[in-house]
Amino acid sequence: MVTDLVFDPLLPLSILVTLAALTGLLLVLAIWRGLSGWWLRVLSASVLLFALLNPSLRQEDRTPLSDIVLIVVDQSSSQDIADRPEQIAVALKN
Amino acid sequence: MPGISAIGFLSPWLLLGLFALPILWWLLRAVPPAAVKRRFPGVTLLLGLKDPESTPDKTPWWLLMLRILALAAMIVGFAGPVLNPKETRLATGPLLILTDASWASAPDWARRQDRIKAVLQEAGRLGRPVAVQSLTAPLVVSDGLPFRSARDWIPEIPTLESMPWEPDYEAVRTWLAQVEDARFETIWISDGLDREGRDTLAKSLEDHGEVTIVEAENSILAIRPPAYQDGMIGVTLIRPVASITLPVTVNAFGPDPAGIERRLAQVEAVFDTDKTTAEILFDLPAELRNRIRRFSIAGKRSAGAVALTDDALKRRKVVLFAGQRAREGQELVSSLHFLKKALAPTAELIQAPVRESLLADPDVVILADVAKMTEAEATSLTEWVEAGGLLVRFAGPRLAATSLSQIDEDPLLPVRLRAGGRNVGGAMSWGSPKLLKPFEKGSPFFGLETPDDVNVSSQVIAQPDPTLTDRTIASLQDGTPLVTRKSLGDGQVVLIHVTANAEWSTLPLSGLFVQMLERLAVSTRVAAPEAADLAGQTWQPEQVMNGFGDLRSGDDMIAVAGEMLADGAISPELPPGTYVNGDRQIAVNVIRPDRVLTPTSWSDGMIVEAMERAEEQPLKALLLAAALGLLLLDIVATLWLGGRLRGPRDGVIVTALLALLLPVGEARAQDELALRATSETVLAYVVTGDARVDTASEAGLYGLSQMLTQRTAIEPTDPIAIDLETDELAFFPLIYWPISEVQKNPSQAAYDRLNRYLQTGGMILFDTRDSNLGGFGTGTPNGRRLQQLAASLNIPALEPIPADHVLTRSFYLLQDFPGRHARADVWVEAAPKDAVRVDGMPFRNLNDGVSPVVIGGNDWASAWALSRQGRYMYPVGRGGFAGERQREIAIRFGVNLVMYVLTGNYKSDQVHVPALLERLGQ
Repeated sequence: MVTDLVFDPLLPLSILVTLAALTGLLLVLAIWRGLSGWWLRVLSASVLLFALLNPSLRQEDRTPLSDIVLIVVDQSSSQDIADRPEQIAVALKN
Repeated sequence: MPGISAIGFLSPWLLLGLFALPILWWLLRAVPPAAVKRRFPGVTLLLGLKDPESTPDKTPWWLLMLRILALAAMIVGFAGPVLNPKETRLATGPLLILTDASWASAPDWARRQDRIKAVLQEAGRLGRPVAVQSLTAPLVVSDGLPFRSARDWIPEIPTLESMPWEPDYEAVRTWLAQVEDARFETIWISDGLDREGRDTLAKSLEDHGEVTIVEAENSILAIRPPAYQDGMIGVTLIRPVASITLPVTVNAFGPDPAGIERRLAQVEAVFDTDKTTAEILFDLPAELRNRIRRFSIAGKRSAGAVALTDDALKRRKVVLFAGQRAREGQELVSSLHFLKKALAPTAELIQAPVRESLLADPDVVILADVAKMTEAEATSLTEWVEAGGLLVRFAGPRLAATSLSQIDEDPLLPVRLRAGGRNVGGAMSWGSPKLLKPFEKGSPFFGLETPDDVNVSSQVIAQPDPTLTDRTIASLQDGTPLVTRKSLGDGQVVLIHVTANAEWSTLPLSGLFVQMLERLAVSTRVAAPEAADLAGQTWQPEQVMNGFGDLRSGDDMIAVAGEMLADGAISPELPPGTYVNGDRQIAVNVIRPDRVLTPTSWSDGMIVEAMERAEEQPLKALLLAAALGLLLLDIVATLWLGGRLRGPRDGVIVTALLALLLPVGEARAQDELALRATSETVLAYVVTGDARVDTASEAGLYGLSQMLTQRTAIEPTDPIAIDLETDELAFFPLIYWPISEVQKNPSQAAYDRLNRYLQTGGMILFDTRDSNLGGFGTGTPNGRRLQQLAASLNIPALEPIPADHVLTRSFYLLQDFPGRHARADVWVEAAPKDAVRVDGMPFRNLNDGVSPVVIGGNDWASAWALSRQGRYMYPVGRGGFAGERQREIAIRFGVNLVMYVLTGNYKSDQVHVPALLERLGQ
């Protein structure tokens, strides 16, 4: 099972970035000016911004394919023409 | 219901958090603990002192409001509000989708299909079996209703088609009767028109389960068949609901002379408020009127919005010609009287000699008892018939008396005639007047009743010929032909063996006469065809119309019987379209002339949904963003309230913000220009946008500046290029403005600046640079461009520089003002009228004013142009000495001009006269 976090922003990304920048600016101002309870404000603002990013957990069930590959090589004389032997060698190597 | 939007929540339980808000209010007020009271005498010392800093004892109400709003927005936002949430049908069990796929649903058929698809998808998710039935398509008869998986139906949606006919609800009810006690839900996509049996059908559907009606907003428009009204074509438009005033455009289409279908006329109709009908008249010339094939409402793709036309709108041109003019007072026995009466309502009658009338390109020529025709008349008439005309001849005494067509068949008569004709039932003959034999199959008259009161007492007799039977289309009871016909070329010739008046028979007195004329395509019918009129005929569809009003050829369709056509009920067997029989044409329209559209009115308790469902709109993002915004506002407000917003480093922030906001760069550039222009004398030129011209201007003014520096006390620095749109002009004494065709017109603001500049003493030297060469008529291209550019400038009256103008003596004494060219006149402001020359003085007393403009075309800049290496950039004249002389004069003109600009009329002062006279004398 593969689990990952995907984001599907509720607002256009440009607006979100602007909002985040503004929030950051004002929070820095608040910290600089020594506003009491600034850490609560940082917390709530980041929760809101995170919510606006609309995160969701995605769980995927993946069944891996078998790693055994059957290769059939035609070795008749018609495969000796021109550069075919080299091509076959390259193909096999890959 | 449309118009009212609903809000739903994805997780409504979160809204309970809103109850916590009052508690929060109470908590956030942050009331400090009540103070303990102690009496302290020293406090009296503090009384009267003012506290410079005040601290609020509790949070102000608006800040609380802000915080509570932010919290409320968060709570509501996380609850996931959705505007116009889609209702999800949670029902189970089979679902029947019915759709009225009539012409009325054609205009928004795609929307209906979308709706059906949406319903099917939803049913698919819920795993419900579905049956889809279009009520105008054949009803699927199988074991019960055709319930299938919803996914099966989705690919079939595009095959659903809206038909030109309307659903038969009675048939649907019978169809439903086969599944008497089955339970299913019904969604009925209605077209919004009331019909017989709709209510009963709805009731019987309700017996099976829930019924939901889906109906679009009623915007149905239809057009009734056109009809004649006082020589104009009247068209009536109808709508089911009398609502607002609605203008509608009606187009008339038909082939142009080349056979290509075109719009022939267009008339605007207006539905008045509270009216369900709108009438318009098409007043068209006959030629155009006969071409019209259909009327249609612009912008409505529906069979109901198209009215096809047929013979009823055509007015055939009929030529009437009698062998002998009726004598005065004998109107009723005139050989043309009955014909005129029969044809006048439906045809255009032309009464003129045959050859003249053929010029009017008639459809039919009727000759009443014409026996003798000139060779020329006969030839032109034969040619006309062979080209497709219809010639109808009536017999009479004159035709009977001639020997015409007795031995050889006359080309303009269908049969050979026996001399004299015959009389039956008269005073001098045996037998009684003969009655008509019923019309035989194959005759164009087949199906018409032969009334008993029509009898024939005289007639011309056809000679027996092998072809006679084939050519006879009506005969008397004794078998003698009454009407014979033969084709001639593309046209045909018809002979009616009696007179056109009541002399030989009572036929012209009967209604049969008119019907016969109509069947012969001589006249056209006035009203809708009666069953009797069409009885016994088969009509081939010429073109048929589908539900959307599109026409296609009807060649592959089966011909229909006349009776069915007369009935006119549109059905799959009789699709709307035009039907032809010989030369006659009948249109079958979707809308009958007496059709009234009634809107549906569903009984109470029926669920009626709108066709469109408003788009879902999640509001979560909006509310969360608002909450964030409020929080940020709260930070600022709290800082401000605590006095922390303004601190020791305020200035830095304010400056930084201002620096971001103000466009400082531009102001600085303006300042630099002002500094350069005002710290030294400088010449300026207008940038035209033409690189070559601008280079020449720059180099020219540079050259002139150099010359001024060498020769005079004026020492200008490098010239400045100015952009009329942005630069301030007031700093420059002289602006050189070369005219280039590529220059754009300055804006109004630039013109205002220019006019202010000219009024406050500036001078512009306009240079068309073409010496007025190379133009035709009114001037050169640059000259015209100059006129356009200068049209908005306040330029005074002009005159060519007079010989005593100050410019001729402000530094050098000059009489010519050449540049690279030497020919063109140079214009300056005209001298005042009252300037007089005092005797003995060489100049007029022109003391005032400096001309605001100097206009010429000598391309001075090129003559002055000097590269930075000190070389002249452009040759002048033919080169050599004469050229250099011209350049020298050009430079002297430049020097004079700058002197004139800078010193004004100083040299005009009479004080200088003695010195000047002395120099002139040298």
